[in-house]
Amino acid sequence: MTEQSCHNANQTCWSCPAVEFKGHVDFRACGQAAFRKAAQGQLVVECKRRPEIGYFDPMSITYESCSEWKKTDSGYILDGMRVMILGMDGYLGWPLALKLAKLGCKVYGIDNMLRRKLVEERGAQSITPIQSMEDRIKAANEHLGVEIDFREIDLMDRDALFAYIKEVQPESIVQFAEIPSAPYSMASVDQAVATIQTNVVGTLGLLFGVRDHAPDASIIKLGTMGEYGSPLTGRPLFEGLFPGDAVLQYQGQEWSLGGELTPRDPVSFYHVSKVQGTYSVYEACKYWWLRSYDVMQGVIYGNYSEELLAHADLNTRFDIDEWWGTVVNRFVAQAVIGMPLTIYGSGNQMRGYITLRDAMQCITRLIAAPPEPGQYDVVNQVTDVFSVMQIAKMVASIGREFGLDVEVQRIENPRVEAEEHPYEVIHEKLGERFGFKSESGFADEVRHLFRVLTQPEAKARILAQKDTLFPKTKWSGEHGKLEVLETWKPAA
Amino acid sequence: MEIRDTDFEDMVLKSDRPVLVDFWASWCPPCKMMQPVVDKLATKVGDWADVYSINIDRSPALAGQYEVSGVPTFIAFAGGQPVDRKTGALTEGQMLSLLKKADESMPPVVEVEPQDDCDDYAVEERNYITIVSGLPRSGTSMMMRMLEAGGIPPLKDDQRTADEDNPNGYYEFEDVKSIENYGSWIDRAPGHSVKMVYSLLKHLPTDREYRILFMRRNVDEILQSQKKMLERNGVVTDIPDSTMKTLFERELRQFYSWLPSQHHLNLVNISYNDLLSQPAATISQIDQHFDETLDVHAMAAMVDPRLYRHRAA
Repeated sequence: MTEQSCHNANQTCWSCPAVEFKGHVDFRACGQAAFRKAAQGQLVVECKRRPEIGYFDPMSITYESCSEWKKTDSGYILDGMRVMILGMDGYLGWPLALKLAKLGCKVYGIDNMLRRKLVEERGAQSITPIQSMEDRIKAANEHLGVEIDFREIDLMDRDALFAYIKEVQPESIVQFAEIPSAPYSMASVDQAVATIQTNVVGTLGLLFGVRDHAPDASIIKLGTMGEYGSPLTGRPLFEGLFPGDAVLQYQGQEWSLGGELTPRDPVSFYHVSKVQGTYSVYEACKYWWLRSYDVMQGVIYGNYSEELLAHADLNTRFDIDEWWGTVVNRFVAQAVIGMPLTIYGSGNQMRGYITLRDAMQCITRLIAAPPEPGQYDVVNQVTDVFSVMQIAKMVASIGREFGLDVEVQRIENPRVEAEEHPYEVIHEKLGERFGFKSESGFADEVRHLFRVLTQPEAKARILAQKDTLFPKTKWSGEHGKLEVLETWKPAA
Repeated sequence: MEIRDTDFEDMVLKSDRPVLVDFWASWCPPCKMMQPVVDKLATKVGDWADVYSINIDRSPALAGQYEVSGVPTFIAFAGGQPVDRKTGALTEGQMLSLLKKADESMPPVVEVEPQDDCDDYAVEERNYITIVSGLPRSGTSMMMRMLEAGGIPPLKDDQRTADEDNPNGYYEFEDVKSIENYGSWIDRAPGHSVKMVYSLLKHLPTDREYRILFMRRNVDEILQSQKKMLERNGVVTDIPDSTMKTLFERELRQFYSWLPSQHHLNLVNISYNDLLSQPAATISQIDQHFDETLDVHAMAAMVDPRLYRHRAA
């Protein structure tokens, strides 16, 4: 194992979810004034797993030297760590459940199965067939030898959610239970409201449940790079917070911006819901000493993970339609059925990207290295920055390796967004602090997708929902067909 | 550089340079973001000032003492006194102006006699071994510093010198802790001072001459100070004070009944409480024990009443 993968060897009981703070300190009750109380008393902890060692200095035992933390390829992991995945049935939730279970975590999940319903209503379906949750869990047990606990609970059903949290006492909670579509949130008032309801209200409720029933759990909150927008000034997209040497000069005076949340400039009501989630989590850490990593994830693509490959019954869902599919996945599907790759507007929109496999590694590494009590931190989970045009050209070129004659098409942009803009993403923390190292590149991942999607059954499923690939949802609220601006075959 | 409360006295209060202390917390995003800026400033001002960080969760007593109620808080110290403070993230320029303010408030430098010859002279002249001993938390470290200033250098081993983590490290001469190692240092010891817990005194080879300063302190204060130290280290003890007190007193009685028969030990009791309340008289008493060969002024400068926090009511 490399040095890098043991990113959390030197963390101590201070940030371990398995300890209880003892003595006169009650973090939760006193917010940022905790240390005043600490000054009168003392900071000691008791290990819930090893109470026999008594009360001790939280800084005295490192993960490396603790018998409860086991070395894995993703760093030290608390043996049998209880991780609750909210939205376990989703594109990300399911592969994460498998990966963590395989690493020795006890995985618990909830989902209201809404995504299946919404995709179906759209006249679409997952290109790789997925099993019912019951069968998925059975398959995981059969092919990977892991136990996963699942309850069909709606995030909005707070009684059921809180009871489950109380029962499980999770040490880490991954919040994926949101409606993840920008165009869906812009399609109609009902859909905008549903997005805000689920994402904003659902997450807010969750925070109260964590406060009351599992305050030591680390919350891994999924956000999106779209929260930042794309500032036309070219200001770098810092990792959620301004760096320490950021200075604001105004009327001859200067102020430090170090550590303040950077401006958010969401690009749809879905992104608005994500920004609100960011603020809710930030505040909960401040008021109640909850701890969280807020993950600003780039556009995700691919469907490769070691665990998923174990058996077809373990497939994660793979959507390609306008609402539920992400751009790279959609382009590959279009290429497979000979449909031009649809670029919105100029195609010069820049975004950050990451593969499913890399994203799972990042999340696992974040879970393995929990934040300290009260700590809120943000990571930009991105490995590459591409323009949409670059992606279309790369997909077309890889398509040719599979004997496909791929066309690219520019259409009228259904979104309201900057089409020409600078884009500088800072994405250092995951590599520097969490030992993340990308395991998959764009070309390899796209090749894998082509191999999967060119299979006859997959191709048939794409053709069956061909109509859902071309965008219809306009940010302006207008209806009517989007005009095709030009169509061409990229040079080899 | 990150320091803990145990370093604070030496690195901040006793510093002869302006010091900027950044009180921060790991859960505070602005604090974490400021860290590289603080580190950069530390390098920049390295030749005339010091910049230290203190994690308030790791050193809560200090945060309480300086009434740090929000983080980050930057406090500038000059001559051991806080001169100015600001709470909230600062720009490098703002931190620098705090340090400049401290620089202007630095107390005038006291001219100290050159010590170079003095050391050699002292080493040659004294053919006895100076030992500082006493109960724990009785001011033995301070006495070692005073003796060093007064002209009796501490015995050092070659490998281990003071480092960042333990600036007082060399007063703790490891070899004295195991009797088997006496051979390795005892020949080098004459002319130097060594700190030693009193229970080890009985193992000293009897063919040498020793002058011992035995530090005494009100037992209630010792207990209180010890408790504070344990608390800061996160160690909890269930032993009641009364038991500890009886224990200490019994040990002392035994020690004093053994002492008169030990002709190689020339011992004088020094009261830590007297040393703080009437330093001049007490230092003169020490000086007499060493044939009036010490630099009493330099020694007096080492006495720091700020240390005296755990006074018995």
